[in-house]
Amino acid sequence: MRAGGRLLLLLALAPAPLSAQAWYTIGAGAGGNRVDCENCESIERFWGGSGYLRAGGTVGEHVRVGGELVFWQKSIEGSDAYLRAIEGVVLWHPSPPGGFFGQAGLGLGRIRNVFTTEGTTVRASETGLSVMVGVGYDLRVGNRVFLTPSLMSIAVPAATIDTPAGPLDNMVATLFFAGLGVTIR
Amino acid sequence: MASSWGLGKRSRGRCRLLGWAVAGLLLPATGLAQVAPPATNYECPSCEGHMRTWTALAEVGLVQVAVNWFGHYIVEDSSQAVTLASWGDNLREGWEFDANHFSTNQFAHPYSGNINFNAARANGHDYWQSIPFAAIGSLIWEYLGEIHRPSLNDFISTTVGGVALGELTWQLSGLVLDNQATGSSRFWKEMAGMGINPARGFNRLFFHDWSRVGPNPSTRTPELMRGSMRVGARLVDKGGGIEKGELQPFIGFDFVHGDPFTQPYTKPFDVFLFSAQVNAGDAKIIGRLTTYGRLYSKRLDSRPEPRHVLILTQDYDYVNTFAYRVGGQSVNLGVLSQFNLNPRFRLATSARAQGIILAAVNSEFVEGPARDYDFGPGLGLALGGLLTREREQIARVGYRAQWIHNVNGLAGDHVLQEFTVDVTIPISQTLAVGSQVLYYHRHSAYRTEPTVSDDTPQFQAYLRWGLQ
Repeated sequence: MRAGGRLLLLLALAPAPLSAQAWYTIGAGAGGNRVDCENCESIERFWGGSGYLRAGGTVGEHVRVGGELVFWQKSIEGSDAYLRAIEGVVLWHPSPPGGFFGQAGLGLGRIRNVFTTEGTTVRASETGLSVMVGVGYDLRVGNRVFLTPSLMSIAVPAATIDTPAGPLDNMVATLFFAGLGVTIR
Repeated sequence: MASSWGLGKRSRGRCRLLGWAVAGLLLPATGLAQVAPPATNYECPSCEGHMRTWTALAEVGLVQVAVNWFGHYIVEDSSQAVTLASWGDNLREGWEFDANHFSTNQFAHPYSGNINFNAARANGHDYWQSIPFAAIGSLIWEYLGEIHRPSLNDFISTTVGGVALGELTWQLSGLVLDNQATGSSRFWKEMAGMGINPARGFNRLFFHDWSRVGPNPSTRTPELMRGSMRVGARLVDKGGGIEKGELQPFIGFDFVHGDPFTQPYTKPFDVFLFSAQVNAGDAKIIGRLTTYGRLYSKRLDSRPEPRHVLILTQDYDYVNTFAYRVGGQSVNLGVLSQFNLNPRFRLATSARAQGIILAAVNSEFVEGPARDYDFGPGLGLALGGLLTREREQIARVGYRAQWIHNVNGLAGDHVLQEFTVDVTIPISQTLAVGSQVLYYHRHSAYRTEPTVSDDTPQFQAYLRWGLQ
């Protein structure tokens, strides 16, 4: 979270792109988190608020690379559940200057549950891998400004995570994000 | 057997060149005038400088269909009996980690990813452009090829491991194939290329590059390949300790292409290492497989003789023995150094930091009859020293430590350490005798199970032939 906060601050304070190589995106939308585990009775889906921040550079006509932070949050039956991911991302534009792009990312995900049981606040968290695939579209609305609708799926596995109902073993959380962003590049 | 470049192809190539020339003359004031005609890619002569993207995608799809039909109709594997309902279930239920055998997950899946990757490579795409094809092939298989839910570990190992093995087999087959060869020599080279890289061989056959005579790629440098074969015996620990182990024969192969010190970086895997060991009397016939390919490098000094090089590599590791199993995909960044001790002896050292994308480690976890290992990302450190006399290995020392944080299996962490000492005594120009001591230590700290420490020593004695 501290690292995430620092990156947020850096992005907020970052100057406008000095060259056509750099780009920044901030986006928000709805995130459906599909949660399954070894000892789960059924697959559960939870919709919550979600958003992301991205920054990076352009390495060719077709390819942009960068880093991103993804956020998801939801209150579930007395527990505040969070999903965070920090990833390296590659955005591929198959037919520039067309706006359509495919995206893939790989990094670390963190799942966190905060809940109270028998008067004690439990802050359970677990770090895992994160794998992202998705698509998006950059719609030009200004000289360097684009509206960016995007769809992403981010999978975050974790060996175990405590919840009010007990530990979830070998869990896989899959976040489906649909949202709108603003890109400067 | 071999023919010259096909007349039809040549004519089309000439027409295209003429077209580009006319466009250049007619449109001098536009950007088009500065566009060069596509350069011929002699790795794929029939591509005529173009990428056959749709062909590559079709091949990737067909490979998944063929594997599914083979599994369903020939092997009669019930997990391949896919239906529209199973597709719907897979899309609805999403990712899980599977309980397949270690060799299936850590070797078979990367090998299948290599086919997907090379379907794109063989149709004119470069290393970077071919990566999405490895991923797409894996997604198709995971969601549509089996009735089981898609497996996230398979997707990662097929894609990332498939790229590593895929570019390795692309480079190896490129060293064997020879567009200038004719007659039976050409036939056997094409057959060998097909064996090393079936996707490339199939495309060369289908698009008539198999028999087409012409220039070789400028990057084809078989003279930079150095290799050796080791044949010997190893003392195998079958789980009861080294004192109860037994001697078993093995064959090992080690190949290195290029020199990271003297060759500036030009393209991915222009310098690569490939090492394999075939074990008798052990868990699987392929006991060890290690590859790494250079993705980037930069000299860190300005001496006439290069001494320090920063290097980024993509690595694939697979060890499958009774004593221990570990495998995974990683990206490594480090410094290679070399010191000329005298005109004959040279010491090379390496220090590399490792980002482990996903590793599999044998553990106390049990799920079903086949799954007894954990999955997790991690970090590592590898240190090495190599003493050579006139470029032949005399002694090698290696140490590797890895920290793996489990994301599937038993909650906890593994710390793995491997220490290797290898000494070789030359007995002729190409023949040497040698021995190796390997010590592997696993420390597994679980959240809900007792901590486990496991030591595995291993001894080898061998004869080594230099393969130039």
